[in-house]
Amino acid sequence: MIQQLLRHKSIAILIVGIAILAIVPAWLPNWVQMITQIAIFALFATSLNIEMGFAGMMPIGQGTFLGLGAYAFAILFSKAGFSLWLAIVLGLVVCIILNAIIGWLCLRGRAMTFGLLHMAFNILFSTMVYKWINLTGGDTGITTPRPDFLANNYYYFLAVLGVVLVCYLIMWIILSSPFGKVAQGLRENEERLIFLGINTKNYQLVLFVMAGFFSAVAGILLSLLNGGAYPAYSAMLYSAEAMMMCLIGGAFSFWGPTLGAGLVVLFSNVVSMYTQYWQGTMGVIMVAVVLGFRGGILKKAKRHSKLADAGNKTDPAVAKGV
Amino acid sequence: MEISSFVRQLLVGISSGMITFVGAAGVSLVCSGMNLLNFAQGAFMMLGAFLAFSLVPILGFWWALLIAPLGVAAVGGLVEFLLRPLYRKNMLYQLILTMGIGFVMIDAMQLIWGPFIKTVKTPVLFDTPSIAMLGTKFPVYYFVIIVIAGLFAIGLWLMFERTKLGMTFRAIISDRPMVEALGINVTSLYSIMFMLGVWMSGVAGVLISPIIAIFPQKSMDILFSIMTVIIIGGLTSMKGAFFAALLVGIALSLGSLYLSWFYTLLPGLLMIAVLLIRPQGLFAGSDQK
Repeated sequence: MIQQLLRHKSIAILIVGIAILAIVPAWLPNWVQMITQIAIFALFATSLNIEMGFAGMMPIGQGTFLGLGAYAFAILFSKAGFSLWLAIVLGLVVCIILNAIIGWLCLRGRAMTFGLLHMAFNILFSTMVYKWINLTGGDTGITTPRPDFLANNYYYFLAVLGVVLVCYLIMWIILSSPFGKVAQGLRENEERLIFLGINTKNYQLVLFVMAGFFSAVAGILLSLLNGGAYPAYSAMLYSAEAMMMCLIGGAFSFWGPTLGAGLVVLFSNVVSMYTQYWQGTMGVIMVAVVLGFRGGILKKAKRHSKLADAGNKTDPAVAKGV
Repeated sequence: MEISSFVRQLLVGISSGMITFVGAAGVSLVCSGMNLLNFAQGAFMMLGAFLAFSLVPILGFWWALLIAPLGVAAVGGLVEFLLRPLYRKNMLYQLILTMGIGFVMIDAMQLIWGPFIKTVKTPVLFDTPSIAMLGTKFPVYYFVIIVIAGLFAIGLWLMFERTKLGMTFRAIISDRPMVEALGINVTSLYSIMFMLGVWMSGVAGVLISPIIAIFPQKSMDILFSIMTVIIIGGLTSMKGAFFAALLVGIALSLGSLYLSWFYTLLPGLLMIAVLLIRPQGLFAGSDQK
């Protein structure tokens, strides 16, 4: 798979692109913070898109996993006093275990029930973050000071860029493997895969844990960027923003969420300069995108896919043949 | 003292459960009739509370209870207009749209009324703010809530069972194409249904306004409690929502008396358990179609 990647025609373009991405922010000190933010949200949105765009599931509350990563890391790093690397590794291990449990439970339900369970866990996690004050710090969150070697914004950006690119590479390899093709099959026609003798639940669980894992990585990066883990990470606004990044950029394309993240974060920074009403602006974007722009910028002609077209199969109105 | 605080918390639990029911019944109606989960209901309920804040000093509480929900329903009518192109699309899109409208409304409320906490004066009934019982005082308003919400539940039931509109709603819920084939304008009935659902959240908002701190971001808390209740009761079952709302309300208020912080997780855990074991809802039974 890696050889195939290296033989890819656009590999040179990719390397030049990465080099430009890494070097240009050095001359844009005022923008480094925002570009770092874009990279982190691009990772978050891409991880969400594994579930939403590729597997056609309905992850309403992905903010849970962003928050989970941030809090697991912050608790281990700031409260338990582990070193940075140990806290990151242990935090991710905790996240994988919890992801697997939550994923296994969520996947007991199909389509809409899955979505509701996803939301239910988000509600449970948010409540816990606000109320378990001894562990999570409640409203004020937990501060995570950046270690000295990452204190410089540009260095931190380079670190984030590196982590995000490695994550992208892993996701790209997995999703373009036969495994990824099965994932797309889940979106297009789950029944047929079941007839082929494929245990779709196992595939969905792996995708779920993968999406949660990369969201957790994004959560750790975000908590280091913002200097803490805050309850807002698991709020509905963050989940909605990530879904919008996927839809704006194009949920059926690997690079769609990245493009969407760039646009949304850029726009949010511009809006925040003039008004404090980012949440409402986001709402307007959501309404506009859903009404008139469902395919996204990088859309592909997938007319008969579940997400692009009619309702899901458990929809009683559809089942009755409306 | 022990028994009186218990009874008092029970009263608080029942009344908050009743209010949640009034808001949740609207979501349940819209969900069963239009197959749409309204994520903006929390914001609609908060709008009712804010309208009550503005109207109560001018008109008094009872007129506000009458008028404010109509204002909320009017906003709901506009929102329904936006939803129309999405009725036969994936539920995810409808969900994102209502979520987006919720965000817009929260910030609009912040723009109009400001981010600071507002309160509404409790209406005085029978010239006394509280009833002395069991050696302690019970605020009359909690009884008022229980009576009004109880009447509301009975009225809703009568509307569904006894009126032509209710009959048509039930017909749409069980077989929409047939209703269309009979020459009934389902599109306008959808508008009425959505506005009725939102109107209920307005009523709930006005009822809750004297007993909470009113600020825009609280919409999310309210939305979460409404979602918890209708999932526990079964998405399309109003009767289920009623019992679930009482159960959650009482569990939370009694929990705060005897348990540490983790009682706040009980509704969420119950919701997850219900979705795993009985996705159709804990109380979904005879009134299911």
